This record gives sequence, C-alpha cells and structure tokens, in this order.
Amino acid sequence: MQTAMVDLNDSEDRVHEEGSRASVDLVEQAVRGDRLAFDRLVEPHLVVALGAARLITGNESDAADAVQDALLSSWQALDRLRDPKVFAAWFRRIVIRSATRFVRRRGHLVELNLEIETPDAPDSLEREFDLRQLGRAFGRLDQKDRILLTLHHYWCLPVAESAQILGLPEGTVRSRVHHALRRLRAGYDAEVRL
Amino acid sequence: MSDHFEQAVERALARAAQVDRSMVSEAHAAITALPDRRSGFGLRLRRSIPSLSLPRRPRSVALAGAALVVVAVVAVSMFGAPRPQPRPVGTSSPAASLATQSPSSSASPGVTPMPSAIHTDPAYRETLPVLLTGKNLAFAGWSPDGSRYAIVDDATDSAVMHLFDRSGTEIGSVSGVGMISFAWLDANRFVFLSNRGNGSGGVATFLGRVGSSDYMELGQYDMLVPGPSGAIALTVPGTGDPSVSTKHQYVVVSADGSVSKPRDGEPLAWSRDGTMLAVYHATALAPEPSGVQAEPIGSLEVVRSTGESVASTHKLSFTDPYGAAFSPDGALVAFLYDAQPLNGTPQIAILEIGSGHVTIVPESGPLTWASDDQLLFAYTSTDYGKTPAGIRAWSAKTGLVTSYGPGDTVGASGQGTVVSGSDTTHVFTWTVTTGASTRTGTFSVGYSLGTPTLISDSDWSPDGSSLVLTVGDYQMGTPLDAVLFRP
Repeated sequence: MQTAMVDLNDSEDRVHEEGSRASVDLVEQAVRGDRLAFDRLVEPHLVVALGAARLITGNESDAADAVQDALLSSWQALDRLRDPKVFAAWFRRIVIRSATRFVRRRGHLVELNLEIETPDAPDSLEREFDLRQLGRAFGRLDQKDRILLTLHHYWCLPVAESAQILGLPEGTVRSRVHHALRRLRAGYDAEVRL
Repeated sequence: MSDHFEQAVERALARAAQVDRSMVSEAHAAITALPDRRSGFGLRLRRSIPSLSLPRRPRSVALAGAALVVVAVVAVSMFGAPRPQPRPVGTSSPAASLATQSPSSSASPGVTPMPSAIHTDPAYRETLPVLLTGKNLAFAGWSPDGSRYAIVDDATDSAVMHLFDRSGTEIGSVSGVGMISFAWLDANRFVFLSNRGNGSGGVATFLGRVGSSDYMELGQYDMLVPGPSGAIALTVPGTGDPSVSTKHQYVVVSADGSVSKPRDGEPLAWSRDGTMLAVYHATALAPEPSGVQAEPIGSLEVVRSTGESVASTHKLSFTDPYGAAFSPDGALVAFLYDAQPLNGTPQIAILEIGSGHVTIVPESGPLTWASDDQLLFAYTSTDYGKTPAGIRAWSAKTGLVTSYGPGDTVGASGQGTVVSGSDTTHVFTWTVTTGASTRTGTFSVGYSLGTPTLISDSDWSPDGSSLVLTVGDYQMGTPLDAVLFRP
C-alpha cells in the first residue's frame, strides 16, 4: 500500500511561506464558487487532515468520509469565515468535529486498531519504546484523549488553538493533555507487561 | 512524562496516521464534484457503514467534576479593596432574555468597565498548606457532608486514592489498578471505575468503603456522573444514535448502594441537593440540507432521581449539550450546545425548570453559577481571538450579559465565593460575599518563584468555604502539589 507520510512543518507551514495574501485570494475565489481555488486552498492541509481523522476515527474509511464531509461543510460555510487569513485553523476545527461526529455515530467507546509499521533498523528511540504497542495503547484511549493527543502531538497545534477547537480554557487543555499522556503511558506499560 | 516518551508518541502517531494515497486522490475528486455553493445537495464519493461491533471501552471522566477551572497558586496575598461588582441592570421584559451586550460596547448601559489592573500586596503573603505531593495528582471530590475529600495519585502502576479529613489530615488510602473515576456515596462509601486487575483487561464499577480493601462489583458502565449530595449516575454502554436501537441509558446508584433499572437518556449533571438530574435524549437525526453527516438532535430533560420528568426543552432541540450546571437553588439549568453543527459554534441555553422556558445566550464558555440568579462564564471567542476574552455574567433577573472582569478562568462555589483571573498572568481574584459585606483578595504566583504554575484540578467543599487545588508545572514533569485554599 502506498502511504503518505506527513511532514507537518513542510505541508502546513507552506501556507505561511506563500503568504497569507494568496490564501485570502483563494478564499475569496472559492466563496465565489471556484472549486479549483478551493482545491488549492485545502491542498496543503489534506494529508494531515486525513491523518488526524484516521487517528480519531481509527480507520481509513471513516477518516475519508469525515474529511469529505469536512470539505463539503467548509465549502458550504466559507462565507461565514469571518477572517480568511485563519482558514487553516477554521478548516482544522471542522475536520476535528466531523471526525468526532463519526465516532459518536458509531459509538464513542471503541477500541481502535491502528497499524504501525516499524523499520528494520530501529533507532534508539524505537529501541526504547515499541511504537506498535504504543499505537495499540493509543487505540484504547477514549475519544477525548485521542482528540487531545491528535491536536497536541500529531497536529502539534499551539495550546491556544486546541483550546479554541475544544471550547476549553488553555489551562484546562494543558492539564488534560498531561492526563491523557499519563493514561497513554499507563496503557503502554500494561501492553508491555502482557 | 519523559521527553523520550513524548517523542515516541509523536512518532507513533505520525506512523499511525499514514494514509493511503488513494484517499488524498478521492478527496481531490470530491472537491471537483462539490455542488454549487448553497445548492442544498451534497455529493459524497463513498460512504462506509459504521461498525457497531467493535469492543467498547469505558470513557474516563474528569475526576474533579466541573468546579473551578484552571489557575495557579503557591502563595496568597490579600488586600482590602473590594473588586468591582457587576452593576445591576434595569428590568427588562422576558423578550430581553435574548439580548447580549457586546464585549466591545463599553459605553453601553449595563456593562461594567473592567479594572485596569489587579493589585497584589506583597506585604501580606501566606503559603497554602500542601496536602500531598506527587507526579500525577488529581482531585477526586468531597464527600457529600464535606467531612472528607480524596486526591488520586496514579504515578505508579496502581493508582492510590488518598483520603483526607477537612482539616487536611490523611485518614487512609484506596488502591486500584488504574482507577478511572471516583465519586463519594456518603462519608464512608464511594463508587469508582477501575480496571478489574485480574488479567481480563475489562473495566468495571466498584463500590468501596473507607478502611476496607474489599470492593463489590456493581457492573460494567461507561461513565460516572457524581452529584454533590452523593447521588451518582452511571451510563450504560450505548451509542446515543436514534437511527439505531441503542439509545443512551443510565442507572442511578442510591444511598444504600442498590442500582436502579436502566432508564433512557444520557445523564449530564445533578442538582446540588441530588434530587434532580439533567438528562439528554437524542430523539432524531438532524436534517441534512447540505448533505453533511446528520447528527442526533434531541431535548434536555430534568428528571427526579426516581425517574419522573420535571421539565424539558421539548419545544427546542439541541445537538450534543455539554457543561450542564444547575443553579444552586435548582430552579435553572444552564448548558452549552453546538448552535451551528457545521462549524461548531457553541452557545449557552438556560432552562427554567418551573416554566419550561428556554433562554438562549449567543455566547459561550465554561459555566459556573455564582448565585441563584447569576451565571458566570469565561468568554470563549469563536472568532480566533478578535474579540478579547474576559469573564462575563448572565443575570436571571434581567436576562442581560454584562462584563464581570478580566481573565480567562472563573469558578464559583454558588455560595458567595468566586475566584476569577488569568491563566496567562497567573493573578487571580477571590471574592467572598456574605450578606451585604464583601471580602476580596488576590492570589498569584508561579512566575514569581521562577516557574510557571498551573492548576490542574479543583473543587469547592459543599459549604463553599474551602477549595482544594492541585497545582504545579505538569508540563515540566515536576511533582504537583495538592493545596487547600480557604478564602
């Protein structure tokens, strides 16, 4: 299977490198109904959005559907975006909520099965931690913990943006990330002991 | 948490999030096939059938409940100057309940100017008593009579629940293999969700007793909703999706430890006296005018602990209500809901239990009741910071929203004590109102000691006189302190 490995800094920050003016122009064109402009607008975020949706929903099929719903939602709601310069954050919020809806519909208490391929020659970090077992422990976290860790440790969003997405004070987000990591560590340790 | 572990998490998530290139191609194809904007029809290229057969796991809940939110403390300074209070606003008709003051409209009637600065008096400082220090502390609630409280430390493989009396003396402990959530039934008995610890990997709900290591299994439930008076609701595994026949259900654990038969609904919050419970009923799927994934919508109902209905928002439907909180006298219940499922804009709704009238406040933020008729919330901007944050107050008397003060954090006992402030500046103000008199002070810290300090959990005692907080720089992996604050 051909997969896409994400370099977050390379993909999402490209928007900033190209200048916010370009993205504002694309938003304005998309609001007028230009699908090509919309495609160019979301393209830097697509792979990461699909990855985040996969982490939250736990499978590729739901992740694909969730992102397609998010695309449709954002396309339809573009004229409600008050500041085109913040399109990326706005789109991320819609993706997260769309993925959350899929989990909620399916039943929020599911054990995910995330497959992680490990290299033949692991480095020191991978000798210290078995990433497959870490993935299994992540899959057993509840939905809220998965979302928090996806925002914080996969999407690497600043706490302020995570707080916006989740509607929580920043301090609460920091606290919950800490506790989610703690639960992940406990789950991982349990995996290792088995 | 070690840096290596967090690096491993990031690497594991990056690998687990790898997606098939065909998914990216499908997404681009979906964009090409997007309908005309506002056409009302959506086109989805593929639709999977949700799997309902996966094994279910319990959802952990915040141990401390929804009392104060966030903050930072190590030392306290006090001063005598009263802080500005929300100015009463003129009477208004019921229709005015939909009115909201703009945060920028400082000249508008009814908006109290924010204080320009919060002072601290370094001449008077006191150190809060540290109850417990540990790597992973979380507050786990006061007993209904306020005589005891519990703090969990699960830094080790087996979580330990430390039990204290109200003076701060540790009186015992409870060990569990991965304790997930905890609630007091009375001063001697408690209910908790935990791994069974017998190798089955399952999670169950147990009834325990102070001073005993024997726990009675009550059954398998997902989530525990504790009430301040000892009332406890437990959710039965379910999807809450009305399109399938697995609606949410819950049971109530009564004072004698017996468990009721399952009732329909998702329990959200208990009234202060434990006689009423706010429950959400997902009753239908929202229409899909834009072709977007439909969401369950439904009503919020207030029921007695015995199950009889008291009030409902049946004339208005809501999607995914959360953060519900009863006013101290139990006459109102406020909650947040997603006003626009498309972009998740939250709003506040308040159900008047006597009349069934629902007031919508088009703002949002974590809710806390300062009194029977004043609801406080730390305003959460939905425009990405363009509107400044601050503490706001909704008055049940006037139906208006006014500015209460600066900050991003607020917590109220409901009995005259309010703590508010900023998680950024680490300066917090407390106000105790007793009759006509008001005492005010501030506490700050963290940076003054060279390290940022944040509160991770907190909860008021039932009489509103004490606040237990767990504080520390948990991001640095340094130990946390549990402290007792009596304003």
